[in-house]
Amino acid sequence: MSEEAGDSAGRPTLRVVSGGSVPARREDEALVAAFLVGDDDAFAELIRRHELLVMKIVRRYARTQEDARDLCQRTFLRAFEAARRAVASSRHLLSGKPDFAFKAWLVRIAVNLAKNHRRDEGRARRAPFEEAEAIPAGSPQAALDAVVEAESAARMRQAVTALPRRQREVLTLRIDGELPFAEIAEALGTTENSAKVTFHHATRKLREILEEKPS
Amino acid sequence: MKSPVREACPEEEVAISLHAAGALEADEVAKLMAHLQGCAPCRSVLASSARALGLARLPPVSESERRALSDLPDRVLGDLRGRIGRRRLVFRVSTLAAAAAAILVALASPVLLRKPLDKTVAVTQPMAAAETRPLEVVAQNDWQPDLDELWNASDALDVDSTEAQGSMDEAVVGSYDASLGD
Repeated sequence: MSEEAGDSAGRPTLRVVSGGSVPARREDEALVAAFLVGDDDAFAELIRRHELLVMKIVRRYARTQEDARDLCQRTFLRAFEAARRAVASSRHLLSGKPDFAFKAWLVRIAVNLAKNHRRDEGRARRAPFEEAEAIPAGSPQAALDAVVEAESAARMRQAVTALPRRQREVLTLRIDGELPFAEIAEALGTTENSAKVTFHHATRKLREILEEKPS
Repeated sequence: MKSPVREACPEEEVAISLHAAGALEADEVAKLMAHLQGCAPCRSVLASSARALGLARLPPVSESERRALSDLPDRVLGDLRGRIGRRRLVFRVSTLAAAAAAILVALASPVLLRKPLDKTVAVTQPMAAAETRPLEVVAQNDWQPDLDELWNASDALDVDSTEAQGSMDEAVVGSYDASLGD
């Protein structure tokens, strides 16, 4: 995705992501059910389907790649524990079919674990992706522009971490996780419209910081 | 002195933020575009919002990050099997302990059933009628690890209550709902 501001017609620079589908959810349930009766291939398939999403969510809060990988591992572990418990409950209650949204659980768990990791680590220093990027060779003006752009990006990313918690969660699930607002709402236990309004508040805050021009 | 922050038309500001994130449906985009054609402040806010979101967004997941995920299924499976194995071991030990306690109670029950069940039971032995010795019976409690408690101790699925944006958010949601009906 281009990080430019968009063209004069105001076309968005973030790509449109379609909503989650019912068949996808049923496939997740089938894979979980298969794993719980011993199908390790189903287990691997389920992780492969969602590992990139989880990584995109947690990496903003991890200092190192190892931290991010560990957060991914713990996220899947807890999600499988929750699924196992849901299946066991459905058998106990003789309700037959377990009812769980594995992807929504994954997202929620990833958000919570990342939040806790950030709190516990007391991030005093920048994450690797916030370190100064290499200045491209070229004219002095191009180099200066690159430095200014990098500083603006660092300022925006710092501003994201300083957002109120719910605004930060909704914003990062959209711009990092590239999730549709329906799925964001499901994961966070709110309505789609509320998630959209929260996203607007977060965007407005970032825009205000970007446009601040102190004397 | 700071420059004033540009403001969008109130009825379009949410749609502008969503459009900057590519989240509008086709009909919503068309409606917004029609407005933007005649509104320079809203166009400016859209451009600024898109730029802010673009700068805030992280770089794409790198190859080294993808490689770090290559053995994730094996790691998670190993961890999960280990946890299940430990729980089964604890369950087996506790089940054996409960079974042993049940056997002890069963062996002692012919004596216990002579008298109404009480914590203190007097046992008389025919060969030593002059001598009685109270036999204290303490109920054995079954113990099993409560897996639900182990899970509940985790806050993994906690969804904290929505922050108190409160009545302001509700009012904006209401007006946004109303605008969708236009």
